[in-house]
Amino acid sequence: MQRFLFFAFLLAAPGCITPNVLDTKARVVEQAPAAIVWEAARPENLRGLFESTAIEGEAAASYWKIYYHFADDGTYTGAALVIGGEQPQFQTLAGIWKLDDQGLDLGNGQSGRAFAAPGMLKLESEGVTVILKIVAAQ
Amino acid sequence: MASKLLAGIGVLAILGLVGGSLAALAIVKQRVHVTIAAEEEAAQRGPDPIELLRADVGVIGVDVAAFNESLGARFQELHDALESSASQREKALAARIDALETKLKTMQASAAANDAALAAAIKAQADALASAKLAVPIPEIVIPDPAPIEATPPAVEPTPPAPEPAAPVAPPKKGFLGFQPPSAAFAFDQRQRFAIVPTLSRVGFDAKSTLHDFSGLTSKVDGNFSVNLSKPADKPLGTISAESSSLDTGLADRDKDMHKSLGSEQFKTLEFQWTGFTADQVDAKAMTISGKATGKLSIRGVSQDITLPVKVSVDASKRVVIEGETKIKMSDYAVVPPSQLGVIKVEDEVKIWIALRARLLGPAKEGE
Repeated sequence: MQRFLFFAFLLAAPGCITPNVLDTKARVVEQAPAAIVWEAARPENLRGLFESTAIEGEAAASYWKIYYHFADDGTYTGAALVIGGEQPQFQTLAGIWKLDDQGLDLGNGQSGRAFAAPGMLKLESEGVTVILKIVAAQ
Repeated sequence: MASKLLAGIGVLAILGLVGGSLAALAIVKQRVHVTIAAEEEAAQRGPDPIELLRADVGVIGVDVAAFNESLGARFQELHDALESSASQREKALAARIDALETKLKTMQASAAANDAALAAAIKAQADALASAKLAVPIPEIVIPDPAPIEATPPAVEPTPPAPEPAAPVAPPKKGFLGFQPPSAAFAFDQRQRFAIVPTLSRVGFDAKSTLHDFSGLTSKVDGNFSVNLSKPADKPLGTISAESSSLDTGLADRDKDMHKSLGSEQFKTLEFQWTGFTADQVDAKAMTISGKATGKLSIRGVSQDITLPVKVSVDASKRVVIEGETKIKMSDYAVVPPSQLGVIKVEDEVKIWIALRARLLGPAKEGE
């Protein structure tokens, strides 16, 4: 009797257990916007070292990684690992930053929009969106 | 009487003449010395200098005459040589002018062809960008008219080189907040290197079992490849690997059995070496490709040739998206399909698939 029940379960089980096959259309990892609530960044949101976690947009193919460090005294420095040459190469920037209603001004006419979420920063400029996370000192 | 007078006068005249002569002789004899040398003395003094001078003058006259004749001949030779040289130089200059004119025409034709090709390439690129519906507006590209090339007569005299015109300053590319992208950007029609972006890539399999079907997948994918996307069959080369122990089916016990079957502890990676491509369709404008990638798939240390039908596209961030799938038999790779009590069995044939995104690394070097 027990054996009969066991085989009956085996026969019935496939109909009860939902197949766990990934849909073909879901294979590609889409860059759906994460459920992050972004707000317009305030100057206090731009303090410390930030590291890019995602780079999207027309020029995204040229940047592998982007770092920014915003200091309390109004200065900043940035580094981008630029690809497209024979080997990836870091570009660095430095200057004075200002954040107001007009957006984030990094000097020399370089400006963009800044949004903040806890521990995160989103910068948009020239069709490129970069999401950065704050990096603790190591 | 008269005759006597005349005789007297005649005598007186004769006497006067004699007296005058004697007086003159007395006066002049103090001024004139006439020496008649003896012959021996004359021999001691040598030849007569006047005669010698005459002889010398005669010789000089002969020499001058000979020199005059020689000089005339030389002048004639010089004249002939100058005329010949001028003729040859004139011919050489004419030939040089002809060569320069030919070269100028060739350069003008080449410049015109280059302008046409450049304009066509820019137009094709702009069309491709427009068709991709990019969010960024395409700046209007203005091709400056080539400077007219004027035919100038070749200078006979060497002239100092003219100062080179200043190179046109290319407008800076738009970057991100001050960063400038490199000059070599993504190009569909150039051989370039690409790297898999693990966070945006997955590989996996779909398997059928007695109980139910399931998928296993991993994002721990790595690798790079080189290809000219517009000519994918032209020596594509690359390797894509996945960490075998990271394959996840959603059930820990099943994963344990699967990793045991795959020998994940010993064979750390599942690897595909891409060596060929048969294109079914290449749409450079839409930047899409479909075809069959060929290469060697290595599982559990066993390599087999496989053909993987794939579709390739380019996303808005200029990353190459590759999707493909094919069926394999686990037994071909010395993998024993997991089984529970001999009743719950996984079928030998599984469907493996890839869903990759790869980003540009740079231009491919020779042999890459």
